[in-house]
Amino acid sequence: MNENWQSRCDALFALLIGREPQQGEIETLKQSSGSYEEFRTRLVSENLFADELGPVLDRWRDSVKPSEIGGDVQINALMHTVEVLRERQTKMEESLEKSEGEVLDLLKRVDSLVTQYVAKTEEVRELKSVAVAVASKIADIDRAFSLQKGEMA
Amino acid sequence: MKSPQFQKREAVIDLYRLILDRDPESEQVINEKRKSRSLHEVSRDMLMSEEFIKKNEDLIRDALY
Repeated sequence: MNENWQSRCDALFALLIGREPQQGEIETLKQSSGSYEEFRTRLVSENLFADELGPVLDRWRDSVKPSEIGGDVQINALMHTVEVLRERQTKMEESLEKSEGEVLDLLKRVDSLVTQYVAKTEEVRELKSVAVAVASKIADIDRAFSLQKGEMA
Repeated sequence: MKSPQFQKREAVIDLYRLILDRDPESEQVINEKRKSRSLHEVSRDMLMSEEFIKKNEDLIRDALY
């Protein structure tokens, strides 16, 4: 903000409010305004000096209505946002369905492997008992063979 | 009889430049404004004028809504 700009803001303030601005009184407003013209408008619209400028603000509100074009633009922007959100929701639902399918396939595979494991375990148990029976038979045969050998001697 | 206190000519011209962004249209207008009791009231009237509102409609709308 240049010196000329600043002095114009101060001069306007003095003119409208009837006194010089106090230290820091309008600094924030000046710094946040992009031009002298914007400062001039905001000095009224921010209603910081309602006693002096309230009637001006009332007159502006009566005379200047919100832009319908601006309203349409806002509605269109909102509609676009809703559409984008809807598309994202659809994609997320599809992704979720796909993930659920993949999880289901994995669970089926795990179930199948567990079934196979249980079947193999049963098989091993049976083989073990057969092996025990065979070992017992061999021991019997061995014992009988030893007895026969003793008698012959 | 005491003569009325006139506003300074330069003050009236400043007023026009600061609020309406232009010079007064004629000496007659300047002299009329110089007779005003208070430049504060004149300046506020200018802010409420159709000319000011029309020229600054977009800025006012942005500030209000």
